[in-house]
Amino acid sequence: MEHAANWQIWLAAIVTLGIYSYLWNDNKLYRMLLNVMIGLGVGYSFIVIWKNVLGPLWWQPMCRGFSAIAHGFAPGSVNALWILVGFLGTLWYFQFSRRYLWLSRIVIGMTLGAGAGMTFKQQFLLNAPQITDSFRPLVARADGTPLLNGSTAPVSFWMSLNNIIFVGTIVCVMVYFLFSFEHKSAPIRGAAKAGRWLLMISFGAFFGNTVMTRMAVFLERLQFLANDWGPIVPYWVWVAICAGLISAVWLALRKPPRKHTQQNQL
Amino acid sequence: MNVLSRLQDIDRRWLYLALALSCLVPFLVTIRLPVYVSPETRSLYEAIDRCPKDKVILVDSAWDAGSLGENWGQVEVVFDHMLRKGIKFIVISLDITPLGPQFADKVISKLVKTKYPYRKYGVDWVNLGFTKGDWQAMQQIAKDIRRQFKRDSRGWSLDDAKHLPLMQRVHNIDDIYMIYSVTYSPMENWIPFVHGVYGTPIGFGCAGIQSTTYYRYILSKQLVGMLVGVRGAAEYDALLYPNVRERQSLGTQLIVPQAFGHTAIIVAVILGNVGYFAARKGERKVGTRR
Amino acid sequence: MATRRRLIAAVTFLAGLYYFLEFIVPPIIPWRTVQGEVVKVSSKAIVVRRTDGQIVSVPIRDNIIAYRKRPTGAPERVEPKSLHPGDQVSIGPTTYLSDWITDVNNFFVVLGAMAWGMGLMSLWMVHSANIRKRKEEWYGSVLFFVAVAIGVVAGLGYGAESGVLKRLNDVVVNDVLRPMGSTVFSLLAFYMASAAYRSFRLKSREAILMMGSAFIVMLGQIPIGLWLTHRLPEPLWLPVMSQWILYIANSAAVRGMWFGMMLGAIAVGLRFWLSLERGAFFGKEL
Repeated sequence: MEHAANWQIWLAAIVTLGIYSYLWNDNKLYRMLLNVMIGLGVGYSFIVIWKNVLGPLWWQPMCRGFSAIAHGFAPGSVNALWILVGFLGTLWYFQFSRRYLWLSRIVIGMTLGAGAGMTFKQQFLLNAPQITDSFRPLVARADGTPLLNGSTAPVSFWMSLNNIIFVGTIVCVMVYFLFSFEHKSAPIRGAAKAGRWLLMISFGAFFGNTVMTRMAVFLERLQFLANDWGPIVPYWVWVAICAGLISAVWLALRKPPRKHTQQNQL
Repeated sequence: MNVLSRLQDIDRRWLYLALALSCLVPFLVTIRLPVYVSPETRSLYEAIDRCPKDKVILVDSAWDAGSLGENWGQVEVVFDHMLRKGIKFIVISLDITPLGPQFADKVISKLVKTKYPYRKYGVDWVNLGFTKGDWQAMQQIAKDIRRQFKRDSRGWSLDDAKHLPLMQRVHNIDDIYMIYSVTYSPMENWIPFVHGVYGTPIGFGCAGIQSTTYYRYILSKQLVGMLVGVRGAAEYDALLYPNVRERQSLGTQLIVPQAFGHTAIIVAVILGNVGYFAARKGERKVGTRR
Repeated sequence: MATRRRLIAAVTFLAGLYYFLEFIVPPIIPWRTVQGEVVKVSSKAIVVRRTDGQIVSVPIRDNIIAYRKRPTGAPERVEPKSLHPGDQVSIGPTTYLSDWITDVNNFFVVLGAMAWGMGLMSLWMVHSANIRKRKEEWYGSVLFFVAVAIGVVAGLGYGAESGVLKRLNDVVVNDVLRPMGSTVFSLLAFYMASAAYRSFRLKSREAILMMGSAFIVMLGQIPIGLWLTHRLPEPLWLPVMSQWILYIANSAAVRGMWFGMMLGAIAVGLRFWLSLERGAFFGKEL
């Protein structure tokens, strides 16, 4: 993809093929590479989080606050209060203590409480336009307006049909998921059944998109192996790979030898 | 057991090999197929194309290796569009991954090196780096970007007029025309906390698997457009370069292998079902004989 | 123990209370809000014509804030002195809730970021135990610690312009982390193909409907779908049918699910906020 030295391409290809070795069978090389990946990721992220978040948003304002205090409570001294956030932040690590586990629940509670408080605003702002948009005219004009809106656009059969299907699907799916009461009456049972059928169409669409996503990740790796690594591989390595593949295929196709049991001998 | 019924018991490794080989073919042989441009891609293209000269586009490029196959192409085509048209942009990476800014830098540096050597960092684009905070950070950025970012990803202060002249005219949401969030699963909080309050258009670039939950926002006009997976990038590339030979984005490179891969999976499902029904038929025959 | 529970419940409630109030309570004290059109702006006061026609002069003080109505209809907070005659405005003394949001946001961002070390600590404890007890493949844990050290050193090169650390950062990110991460995720493509092959069976009408929808979407997303059907009328093109499924059928079904999830999210949010939640974690002895 981007220009890199041959040894870098080889390094990337070795780790790629090492992980793909799992497709044949679980093996030590794969497990070693996973350990390396997790270690590198954790160590790297640790420093980046400090550089991008904790440093500029906590450490530097706190240091400026203490510096202001040292200069006779100059403006900005209040920033020294950030040290309290440092003490609160250490409470997370009491998760590892059996005796003082409850201290970690304080910060967990604060985080959960803040998230819960935001839920009201978030859900309302996110879904209110969705609710209003769901009320669609069942007989619609070509410009999307209802029939009796004063518009002069002609009535659109396809838009009306789409709107009927749209609104009907929302209602049927909501009825299907209403488990608070029993689906006794015929209209409710029918709506729930229709909701289940319409959900199947939606799940099929989910599956189709899932396939697209999973394939895309694999194709990027395949593109690297074919376009970046392939051209720099010496011929003898290709011969070795092909020989390995042919051996694997032969081993897979070979019938296992017949076991000599007492019954066979008889 | 007849031959057909064995189709449902093929060893998984044969399947893996078949999938890999079918996807490999388009990398070895050039195959060009027509691309259908979807409405969500077209509307995103048109929205970005309309960006006024005095505003910038904020790109939240918060993806990493896990979604590189889809997101690389999605940012590549949009960066290509903006660099070509001279639309100024700011790159950030919000939550999700600290590697986001580096991947964005890679995409931009490749485009600048190959196509737009006259575009300069600090003048045409700025990368502010990674930050955390979800909706809190979004609100901060909207009210005053300098409260969330003190320096750019290279360490220069945002008030450094010599290195970052672009940032001297970007302060808050008033200076941002549109937000384009690209990641595996873009944060929906952009919609209520930025679009809902300030009316700023939001566009998403997302993985295919996540796109099914975002179409509802396009219908309610909370999203101005969306690039879906590899095909979104390929479609946008088709709008940028009507001549298929000029298209070089990752999306265009991967869309034909993707087609072969989908076909292989469809064939596998059909074979599995043929084997299943053949086995069931065989079991029924054996049942009647007994 | 009851004291501890009450303390935790209190901090949980207070943390959520600020955001709840910030959403519910208007930024300007309701009974002292002046709404209308700006008539005159001076250094000492803003003159506003209210909706009932009355002219009101609002003196500019430190606690006075103004919200101008944007063309979108959404309100935008502005400095009172930057208002112009003709602006539609709401002006009055602030409730201070929105003023503190930046600092409160930063507080929770930093607090959340401080939990980052927990992942490292957990892994440290597991892997060091492996090495200490010489468990099977303990050398993998040694590799883990070596990789953490290399990752930390490479992270020092993050954001650098040049130098050895930048080079190490580039190699670690571009030639090791990125390929490894992509490859691990790409294994899912094979698992998904294998799972689809083994379990996707047309055993019922619902399964047939689901498979039909999946095939249309899968073929519609790729050029082969257009190539197969481009000679048919446009509504029968696979990409067009795929778009219809995604925009109409799928969007409507997802909306139905999300409305239910919205009610559930609000209910669960209330339970967490008021510490009413019970379960394995919340019922633990403190």
